[in-house]
Amino acid sequence: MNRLKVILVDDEAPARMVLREYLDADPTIEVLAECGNGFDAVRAVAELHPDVLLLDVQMPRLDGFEVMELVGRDTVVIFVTAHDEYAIKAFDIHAVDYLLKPVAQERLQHALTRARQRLAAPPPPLRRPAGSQPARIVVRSGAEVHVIPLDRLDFVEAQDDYIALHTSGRVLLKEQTLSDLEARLDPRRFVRIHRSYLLNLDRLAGLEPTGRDSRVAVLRDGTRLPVSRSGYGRLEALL
Amino acid sequence: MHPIASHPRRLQLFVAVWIPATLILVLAPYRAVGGPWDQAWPLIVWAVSLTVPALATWHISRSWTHSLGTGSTFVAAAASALASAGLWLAAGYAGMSLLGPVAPILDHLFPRLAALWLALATSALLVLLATHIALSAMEEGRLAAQRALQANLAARDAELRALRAQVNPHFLFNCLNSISALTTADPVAARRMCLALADFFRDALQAGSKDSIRLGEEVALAQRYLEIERVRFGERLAVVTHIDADAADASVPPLLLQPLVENAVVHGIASVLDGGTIRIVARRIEDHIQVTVSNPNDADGARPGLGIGLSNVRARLETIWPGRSTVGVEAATPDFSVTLTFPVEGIS
Repeated sequence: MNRLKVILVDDEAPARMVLREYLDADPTIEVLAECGNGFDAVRAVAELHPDVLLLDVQMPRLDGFEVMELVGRDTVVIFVTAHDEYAIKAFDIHAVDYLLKPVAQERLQHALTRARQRLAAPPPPLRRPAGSQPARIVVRSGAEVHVIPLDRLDFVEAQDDYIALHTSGRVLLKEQTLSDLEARLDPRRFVRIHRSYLLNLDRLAGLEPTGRDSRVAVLRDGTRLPVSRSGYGRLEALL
Repeated sequence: MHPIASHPRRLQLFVAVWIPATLILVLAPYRAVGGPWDQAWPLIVWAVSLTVPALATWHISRSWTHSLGTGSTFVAAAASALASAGLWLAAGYAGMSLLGPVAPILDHLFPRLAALWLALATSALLVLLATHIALSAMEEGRLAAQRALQANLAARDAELRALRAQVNPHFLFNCLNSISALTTADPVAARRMCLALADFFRDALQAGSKDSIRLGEEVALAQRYLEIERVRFGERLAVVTHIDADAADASVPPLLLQPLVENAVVHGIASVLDGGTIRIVARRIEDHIQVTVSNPNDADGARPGLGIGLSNVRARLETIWPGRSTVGVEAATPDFSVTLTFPVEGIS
């Protein structure tokens, strides 16, 4: 059997210590790295390609859910936390298991067995938590992680399988569909003005007609975006 | 609640004693003056009918005691016994005059015995009333003890609930996880943490059972809590405290600061990469105390979950010093702070 490659992520040293001790006792497991925060975890996953991530939920910079969103689908996630209230959300996004601190060695073994089974037969991808509105968007490019608070997001543009997030003049690409992002954001703040554009309503300076039945949205920084007929209907309903 | 009629066992006992007693009370004087058995049956009915005033006297006596005021128990009892016996005698007279044709001897004997019967019935009712009063006093004592016990339990329950609301259970789980890690890696540290945790909980429980504690003690408790958290966070958590000498003796509700320091750890240390310093500063400003708890603030943290602890603190201060306390929140970077201001006077 191949050794199962694991990365430990917890911001508390003692919490990593006990997991490390459990894992070191098992010769079928190889611990690739220990990380003390979400940023380091995303970077380590990008560089080391582990099979399993043992992930705390509450951490500085990026929380466990944001880390899970950013790591590739080849890595399965087992959450390890003292909080039981995130369990449903964790299983919703196909975390393999959810361990409560303090963790028993047998319970960890059981979770790792489930991880092995999952790696052999992955489930259909569905990794976005439904019904929770995030306060920020996290984006990974290579090993680098960007955090965009929603009030700094100007607009989002659809580009094939990606979305381009425009924030204070910068553009960040993320692998996600525009409809998926739209569904997770507050529809009174972010409006789908066009098949390819989702606009932060705060940025809208005005609407200009460009012909019969067609308009462009002018943003505060002067950017002009096309507005479709149904997009105009949605804007009208909100303004 | 009637002390006899509302208890089936007591009622049985009462009937078993009372009915023979009334029979003796009525028939003994009658026989003593030579009354014949064949004309005694109306007297038997009359004697048994004393049971009704016997049970009613209790209520009369009680209502008179109420209207006469406390200390009048005996007077009210004597008066109601006499009145009940008088009524019973009057009813007897009326009955005898109706029954004159069938029991002529009664017409003749009744007036002769009336005064004796009145005295005997009044005495019997008085004895009964005394029993009533004793029983009901006993009952009241038992109820009072039960009420006191219940009040005590409720207070205890409230303390525990308050403690639970004040001390976050995840703190305990995280501590146990740390101890579990330390048991093999550093057994001495594991033991130290067990002891620190036990000390904190003992002090917190004890403080929670009081209405108020000294601000100095409250801050010491917060420090103790933070020391335990330092095992988890290591160098990411630094603590600085300062209390003005003339602020340390001010009274505060116990565990007032606990939600604030917990928030400071969760939001200011656990979610900030390099952690930072939690500061607790207590100052006396004229006749007010000002306590500030501050912690590092992560610029793009913006995480929810501050509300409940803070509104608890606000509610507690408002209950004790209505309209005279404030809770200020400054959500700035790099430091987030909460400032409590309240009067220096003691908690009543």
